[in-house]
Amino acid sequence: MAGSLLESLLGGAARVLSRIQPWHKYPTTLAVPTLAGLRVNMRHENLFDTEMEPTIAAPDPAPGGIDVREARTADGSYNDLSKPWMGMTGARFGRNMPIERTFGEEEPALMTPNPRVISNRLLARKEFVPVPHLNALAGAWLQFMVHDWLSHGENDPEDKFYVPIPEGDSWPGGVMEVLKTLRDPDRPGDAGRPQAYTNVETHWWDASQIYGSSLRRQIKVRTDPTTGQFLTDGKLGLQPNGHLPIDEAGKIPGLELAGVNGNWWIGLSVMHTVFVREHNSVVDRLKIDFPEASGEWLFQKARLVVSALLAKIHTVEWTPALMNSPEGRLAMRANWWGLAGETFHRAFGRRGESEILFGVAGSPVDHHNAPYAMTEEFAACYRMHPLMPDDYSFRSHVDDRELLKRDLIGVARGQASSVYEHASFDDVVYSLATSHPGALCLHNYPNTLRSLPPKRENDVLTDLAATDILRDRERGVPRYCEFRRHMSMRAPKTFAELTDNKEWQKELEEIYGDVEKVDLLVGTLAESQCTRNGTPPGFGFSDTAFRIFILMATRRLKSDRFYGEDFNAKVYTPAGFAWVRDNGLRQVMERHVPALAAQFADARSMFFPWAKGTAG
Amino acid sequence: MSSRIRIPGLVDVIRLDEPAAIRAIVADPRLDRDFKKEGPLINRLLAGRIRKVLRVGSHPLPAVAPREAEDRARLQALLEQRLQNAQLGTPEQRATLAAYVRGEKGEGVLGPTAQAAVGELFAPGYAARKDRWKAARTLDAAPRSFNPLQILWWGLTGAVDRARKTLAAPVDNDPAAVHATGVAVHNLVRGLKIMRGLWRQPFARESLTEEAVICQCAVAPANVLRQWKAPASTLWGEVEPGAITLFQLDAARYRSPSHQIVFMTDSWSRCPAHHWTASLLGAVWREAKASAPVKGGRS
Repeated sequence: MAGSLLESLLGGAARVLSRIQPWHKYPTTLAVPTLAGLRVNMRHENLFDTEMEPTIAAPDPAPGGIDVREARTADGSYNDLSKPWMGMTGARFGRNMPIERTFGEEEPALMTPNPRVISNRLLARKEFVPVPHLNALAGAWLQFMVHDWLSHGENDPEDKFYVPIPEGDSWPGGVMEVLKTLRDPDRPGDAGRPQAYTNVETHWWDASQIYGSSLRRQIKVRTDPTTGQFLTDGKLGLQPNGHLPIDEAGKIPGLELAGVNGNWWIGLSVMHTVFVREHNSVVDRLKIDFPEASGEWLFQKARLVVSALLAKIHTVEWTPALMNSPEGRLAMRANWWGLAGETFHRAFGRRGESEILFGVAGSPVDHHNAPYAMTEEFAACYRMHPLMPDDYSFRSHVDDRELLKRDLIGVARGQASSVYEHASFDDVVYSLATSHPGALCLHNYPNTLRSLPPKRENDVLTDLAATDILRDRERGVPRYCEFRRHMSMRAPKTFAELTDNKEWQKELEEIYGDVEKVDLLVGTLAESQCTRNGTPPGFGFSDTAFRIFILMATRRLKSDRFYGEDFNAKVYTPAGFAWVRDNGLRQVMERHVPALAAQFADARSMFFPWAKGTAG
Repeated sequence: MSSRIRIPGLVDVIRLDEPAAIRAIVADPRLDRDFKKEGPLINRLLAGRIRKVLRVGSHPLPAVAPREAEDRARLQALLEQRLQNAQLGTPEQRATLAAYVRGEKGEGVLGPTAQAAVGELFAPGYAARKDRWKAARTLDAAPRSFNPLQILWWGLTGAVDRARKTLAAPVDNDPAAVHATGVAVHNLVRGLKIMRGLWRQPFARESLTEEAVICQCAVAPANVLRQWKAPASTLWGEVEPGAITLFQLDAARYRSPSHQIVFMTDSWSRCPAHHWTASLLGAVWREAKASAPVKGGRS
């Protein structure tokens, strides 16, 4: 076992304790060290490289004329200076499972059970099951983050799956066409290995959803929508009313412009708008200390600050809100501040390299067992579409009066920007912050997403639920039981061990027959009602997904130079570094939607429901 | 995790299990298979054992032949070319191996049948015999065993010499054939045992592609040795001639199950049977599936 004696002890203890019962059944004093130990073990056993002699274009040594030692490149190259290609746009997804277990499935298993049957009988929303303790910004935030980390990009238009449609199903045409994921061509050394896929975004936590994953896209978001001129002051483009520009060159009318604007909806519109404004605020602040600095320099420093602020909010605000338990909150705060805590950090600063005592942010970079990359398994675990409601009510933040009611399609793609014609930006934020996301459980998949109309010409009707199932099988993500075994978790032997819900047990048995065949997505949703080995109390997502998160959430920080040795006042500037330390989503909202301050004043987390109406 | 065990005068071994490190170092011309009795005591013992056991007459078996040995590269290339389109065992042998995979035949048939399928490449009509399989097990174990009683027994009875003769006789003393039927065959046998394990899992049987099965069943020798023949400055410190580097291919394969690691296909010491082995494993899996009794079940 690699690492320090402390890590070895934690890893060994976690192994022993996990054999007795899941980590969350122990008291906090044992549960938190067990989690730390599980992470040690997974770093050793669950990181696998798929890059065989990378052939992606050798990055430009001085991309965009910036100093790569102190700024993030547009395409994510040169984060690791010894392997400039690591984590850049076009690098392959890595794996959390042994490579030999990650071959895509073939027929008949690929279509067994039929993904459309699973969609219809196990996933389709019967009635909306909300998460009462969260607000809908939590779901929007998740997608906002995922767009930063990963995308498989456009699918292969030449290669399709044909999913048979079961009898009695109203799906038009008797067969469902699903385009296959575009495969990365074989490279030298790939012989004998499974198919690999590439990430069309940068893999890093670098806010590429805002800034884009290419210089071309970056220039687009740095253009003034009014004049069409490149903004030389380091700011991002916004309309005079503070809204995002419209992507005039895009194929979808009315679609707003962002670094990533795929799968767009009103929640993303809110998050992007707020953080584009935040970027511009950071530029204004830095300009005070560095009046002579160029716009390019200000842009790059502001990007570092905004990226780190997003990482911090995700770590110490969003994740603890979804893992609403003492252990969850402590573990995630310790990830950023260390067990020594925020107060110690503010008083004395970082006093050593230990990530456990002083937090991962600022600790030495370590890629552990494989070069840094997002993984297919991580992407699979972030399939959380049940968070999306099907219906949206936009209300006035002044008196809670309903202004507009729309379905999901009515707030998605180009339709999102039209919502602002009926409700102000403040009203939209207020409406999302006072409504709830859906729970991650069976029978709660938004039906709108199960019948998604074509995005543009030549597209087809899509059942995203069936597609989610098919994607994991296609990309060789092991099914639920095998997945858990590879994560050193207990795998259920029966449907009764998978879920306590008798009705679900019966349905699962009817469709799958054998618990070994249960798909990862279905298993993680079914374990939401399992007291034995399922979702920990207070958690919004499954324990199975959580294991991947504790590995990968830390890795996003631990592998990134700008959250490692270069997370300091010299690289970020003193004002920029202090900005990250002193701000959170609350301060961001205070700056950009001050009219709602009364509504969120009493919210313990910005992802918990805000007060309705004028809130006194 | 790479490591070095070094006790001056006693042992000096660098162990490598990182695929990238193995790929990088394997081409170093100072690392060779010209096992000489030099270096610390245990290194000398190991080198001497390999030289003594893995040979036919005065010729080392190809897997331990020095890089610059006369004709080595030419014979390796010839064999590789010949095996490209060679028969994948006889139909009977494939049927027996498929039956083993399906669990219809016991362990007893596996070794001799696999050995016969390999032997067929060098001597048509090579028969599956228990004494030949026993000889292969002895030859494989002899260079690795550190059991003093076992070594003494072999010394007293001449078992290793006898095993070598048993293996050499049917293949006309061809060192490549003795290596294939006496040493390399054990990797094939391990692979078929893994395949039987996969077959026992009904869902794996249904869902795995042939490629996936080959990937899981094409196993490398657990360890491959090289000896430093010149002083070198390495990541692990200075090394002197006689120091040994151990490529832990089985561990490396777990991280990167590519043919580059399993068969060292990009190296001067690549396995000439890489294509044949993978093809045979695929053929056995196909045959096992094709001959499996059809069962009813839900769809």
